[in-house]
Amino acid sequence: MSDYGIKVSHKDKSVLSDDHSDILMSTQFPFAKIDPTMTDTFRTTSLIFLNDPPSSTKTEVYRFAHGYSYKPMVWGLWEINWGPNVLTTPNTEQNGYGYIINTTAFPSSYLSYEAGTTDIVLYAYRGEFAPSLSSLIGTTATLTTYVFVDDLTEQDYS
Amino acid sequence: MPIPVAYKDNNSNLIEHSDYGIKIAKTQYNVENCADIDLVFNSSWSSIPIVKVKNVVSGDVVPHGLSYPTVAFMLGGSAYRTVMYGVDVDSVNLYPSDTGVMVVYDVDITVDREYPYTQTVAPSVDVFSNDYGIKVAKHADNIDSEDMRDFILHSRCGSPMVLAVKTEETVNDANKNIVQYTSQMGYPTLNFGYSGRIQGSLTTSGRAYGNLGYQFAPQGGGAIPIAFTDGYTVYTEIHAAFSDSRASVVCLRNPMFSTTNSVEVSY
Repeated sequence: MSDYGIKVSHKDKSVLSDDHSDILMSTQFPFAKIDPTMTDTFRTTSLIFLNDPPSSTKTEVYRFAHGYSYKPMVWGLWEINWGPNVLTTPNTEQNGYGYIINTTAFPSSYLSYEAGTTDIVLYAYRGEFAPSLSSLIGTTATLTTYVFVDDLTEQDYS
Repeated sequence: MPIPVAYKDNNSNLIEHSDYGIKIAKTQYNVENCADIDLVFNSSWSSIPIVKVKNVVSGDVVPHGLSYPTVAFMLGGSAYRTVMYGVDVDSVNLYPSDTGVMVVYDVDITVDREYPYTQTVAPSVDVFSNDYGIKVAKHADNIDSEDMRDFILHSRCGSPMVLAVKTEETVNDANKNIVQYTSQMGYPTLNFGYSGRIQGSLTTSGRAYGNLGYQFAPQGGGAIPIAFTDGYTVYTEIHAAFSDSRASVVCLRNPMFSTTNSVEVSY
């Protein structure tokens, strides 16, 4: 841990306090950083399925360059509106935010993304919920991606 | 899309911006009276610090190095969980139940707090000037480096921020077993839920929780515990059978500034 940097405490609290709740801001740990001068580091991709991808295999449906030459940290926020023929277990939500898939217990269909050293790739998986096969036609999804400057090299700042 | 049932939000616990600290205004703005959105940096912003990055496998027990339960995500894991899956935690350790890269952030999920940000994201790449700002290099890295990874803090870069951590401390009397928060940001936020677990009960990966255990509450249907969100409202239950009446929701918002691109794709 460095013995230099910036620390700001809450009002009437000592900046030397060991109590985390007393500290407003500190450079003890590096901030997660998004560089707005990099064009595609903060982006929304809207997907609509007019056709079905092959069944029971993870299919690439779109990719774009993230602008870095290493594998960065990436957050993703999905908004998914599953089409009428995506099969789910009873009482399972068909629409979701975040990382949600259409069912946690049986991955019958899902959307996902992966970040590589140059690109972010969006995938679709069209599965079945026995005995029938889902159709993704009519499914729409928006993915907001947050591409950080930071990479995934092991680090320990604690 | 609506979530199954929306309850009453937790009572507000808004903190005030401090009237001291470090602020840096954009070119031609007065730092003493300009809006937050016209700042390059404000030490009151609840930016998200990274504590640890570690490759893990399910069943690992990983000390987080903090004195309170905190937020960690698996960035990449099993396919059907896709991304940003949360990690069970207590006041000492993290308990990943998946294999991949775990990123640990410094966000205390036990302290109820809302931050007073009302502005939406502003595209502002054109306002950056390279001849002023604030930067702190990592130990042994060069302060003049062009590689942003070399910096702890660089005012050119924005960070997602904590909008709120809501806990059992402020639950609404109308629904005493629900911790719920609704963002006023006007765009979807990243929302996560945690349910308290008693000491000695088992984590998702089969380890025993220590003090102040919290189980990550997935958003998938059928999970117990479960967190529901429509991108604006998020709630999770306080499970009497699980805990000594603890639960938390965490709401993360976009950075104060960032360029935004949109593309439409059909398959």
